[in-house]
Amino acid sequence: MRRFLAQLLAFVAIQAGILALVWQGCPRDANHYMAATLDKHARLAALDSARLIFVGGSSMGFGLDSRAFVERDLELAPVNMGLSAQLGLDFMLAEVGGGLRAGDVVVVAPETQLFWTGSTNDALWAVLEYRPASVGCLSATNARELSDQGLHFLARKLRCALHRVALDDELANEYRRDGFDELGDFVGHRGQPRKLEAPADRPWPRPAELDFEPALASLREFADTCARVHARCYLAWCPTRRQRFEASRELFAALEGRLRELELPMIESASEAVFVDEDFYDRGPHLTGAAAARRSERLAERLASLLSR
Amino acid sequence: MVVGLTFTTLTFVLFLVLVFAAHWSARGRVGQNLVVLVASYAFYGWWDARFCWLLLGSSLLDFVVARAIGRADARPELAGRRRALVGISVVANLGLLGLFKYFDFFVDSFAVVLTSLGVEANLPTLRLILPVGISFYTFQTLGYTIDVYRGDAKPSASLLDYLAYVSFFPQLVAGPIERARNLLPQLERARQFDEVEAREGGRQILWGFAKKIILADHLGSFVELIYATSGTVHASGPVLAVATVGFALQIYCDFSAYSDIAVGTAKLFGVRLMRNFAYPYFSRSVDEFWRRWHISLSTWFRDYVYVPLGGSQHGPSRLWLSLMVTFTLSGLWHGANWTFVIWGALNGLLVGLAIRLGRSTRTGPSDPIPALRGWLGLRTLGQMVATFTLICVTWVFFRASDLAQALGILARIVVDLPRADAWAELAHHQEFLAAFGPLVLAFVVVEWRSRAELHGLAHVARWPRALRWLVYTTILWTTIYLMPDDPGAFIYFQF
Repeated sequence: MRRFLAQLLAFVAIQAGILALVWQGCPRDANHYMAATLDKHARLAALDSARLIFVGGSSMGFGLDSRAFVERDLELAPVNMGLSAQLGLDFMLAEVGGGLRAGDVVVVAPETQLFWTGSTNDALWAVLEYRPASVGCLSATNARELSDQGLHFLARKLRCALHRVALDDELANEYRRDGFDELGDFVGHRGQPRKLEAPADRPWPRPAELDFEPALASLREFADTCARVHARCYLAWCPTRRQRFEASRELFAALEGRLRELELPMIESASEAVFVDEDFYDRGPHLTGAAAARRSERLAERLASLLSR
Repeated sequence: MVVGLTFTTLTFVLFLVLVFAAHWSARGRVGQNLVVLVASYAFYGWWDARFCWLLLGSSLLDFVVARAIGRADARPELAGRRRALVGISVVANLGLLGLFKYFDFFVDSFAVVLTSLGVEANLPTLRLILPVGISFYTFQTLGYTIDVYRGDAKPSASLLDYLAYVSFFPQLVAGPIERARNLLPQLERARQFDEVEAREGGRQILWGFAKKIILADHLGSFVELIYATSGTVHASGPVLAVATVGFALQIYCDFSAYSDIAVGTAKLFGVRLMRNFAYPYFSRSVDEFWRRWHISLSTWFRDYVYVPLGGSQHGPSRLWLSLMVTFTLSGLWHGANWTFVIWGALNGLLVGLAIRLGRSTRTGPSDPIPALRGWLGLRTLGQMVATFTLICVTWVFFRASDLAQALGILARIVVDLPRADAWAELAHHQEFLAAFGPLVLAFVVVEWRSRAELHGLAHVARWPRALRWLVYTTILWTTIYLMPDDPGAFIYFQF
């Protein structure tokens, strides 16, 4: 046993050496998309006045024009926390839940699949690499997901390091930290021509095959937090392509029914968040600048009406 | 939201390190089996802790039943009681499986029949979540009680040993389906650490890890793209044929990878699990294929269904009956869908034809795969290619989402193969084919050269250490490099 362990440790040490080289080959990139979490959290913490916080994944980052809410003079400072759906709903809610204050208004619009899936790929590792303090936002489920994602993060680091070594170049990527504006909206794509890509729409299962309960429990807990600190919280929907909506009407109806049972008022229905293909910038649920502005106008008007009651 | 403790995650690596340390620090059989038991239930509970009660209930029932059968063994006047006891085990285990896996399927199918007869039916369904691994551990415990009833195994005297046997985590959720006479005696004594076995286990785990990530997951993405749309066929025949071959390799790399990791992991704990794959795609007949593919399930059906039905001992009609029932049930075991039933029946038909037409090779999993030399070698190669082609035809039913799609795919392949323009569609996938074609080819070469060994990396054990470690390091980092963002779960988890 002793000899086996000694040789195993020697082998592991070699792999650790390679790992160190990989890490060095792909250092932290200050302009990485996920590094935008630093700016979003900095704004969230810096604002003294009541805040209008938008929670969601990249569909929130791309699909919102916060200027529409500023122009409504709601006396709320917008902070768009939308970054990546792959972080999962629990993490997104935990990012803002702990720091809510009386008078804050929160609009939660998770990507629809987050009602039955969790964090995916290596998103949690990626965000923690840039903001280690976010470790405090990890739920028990997130901790397990983080562990599951370890090899994926390593794979990404390795690919990045080899790419740099081979081409002395960074992986081409237009989704960068500097694509976000000071309010947290992603604006790098505004004014750019749409990408002609097939939508990344895998068929969704039937509602009977899905378990919404963990996500609903997280939302219930978040609603309780909102009530406790006297913040007002609302639900909205992720922008959805028309064909996706038509193909999954049963799922949207079932989900909407369950969400309306929560203590979180809905400021738009699922069908109001349906857009045509031309409104999307790329294969994800990312609205073009024009569509984001239209959507934001509608949401701002609805919110203004609700807040004035 | 969280999937289970999948073998190809960092979580499993950490879990394995922890359990390995605890197991070899524990004293004696009881200590080691306690570690195995706690680790196995934690492993299973990772999917859904509620399922642990199901596993425990199923295990306890068969433990009690087997003990009662054992007590009645020496008394001929209690033969009826023994039959009743084994009947209870059969009904309980199959009932559990039926409830969770097949109830809705049969209700839905019955409703379709009623609707086709013009009767509007609104039958109740349960829509239960299928507990992972239920098909595997119910068969394992059922095999145990039947073996005790037949006198092929002794009832376990220790509940701890028995629970560790049923739940042993490396093989719990996707096999190999272990026989009591192989695994239970190993758990009924304290294990001694065997350095050679542990090294071999590590190699086998690495080989499985590489097969799953490098080949199975990437082939799976390609196959998913082509087979994705339920009930429809949207690719040309040659693309469908390539995707079907891709699926044949995907399911082999996926499932044999799981088995390699399971067997390798068990070796780290001083336990030898049965071999589950013996280079099945080098078989020269369909019946040989079934002796080399998913061996633990094939032998289970052979011993508990095929042989009791009469097998080949009572003339041709009984042979056909035994084969068709066995293979159809085997198909149904894979999933509650008519595509699986037809897949099973089709294999039964092909095995029956091989036997009746004298094409059976009568080769077992431990028999050597012949070399390809001279004219005889060419004939052998032809037999292998023909067998592989037939198996691929059956895989269409296994992979298709429904019968309409399966038949549509087969028809499209037949119609399109002579058409040059249909072949041109392969160009749309040239990037994938150029990247993974050579990898698949290299894999086939490695498998062929390793055909006398237990797995593709086994022969590396004889190489100098520096070269060995270079190979391990290269495979490890290549696998990590090629790890997809969205890796697929092991296919057999769904069964």
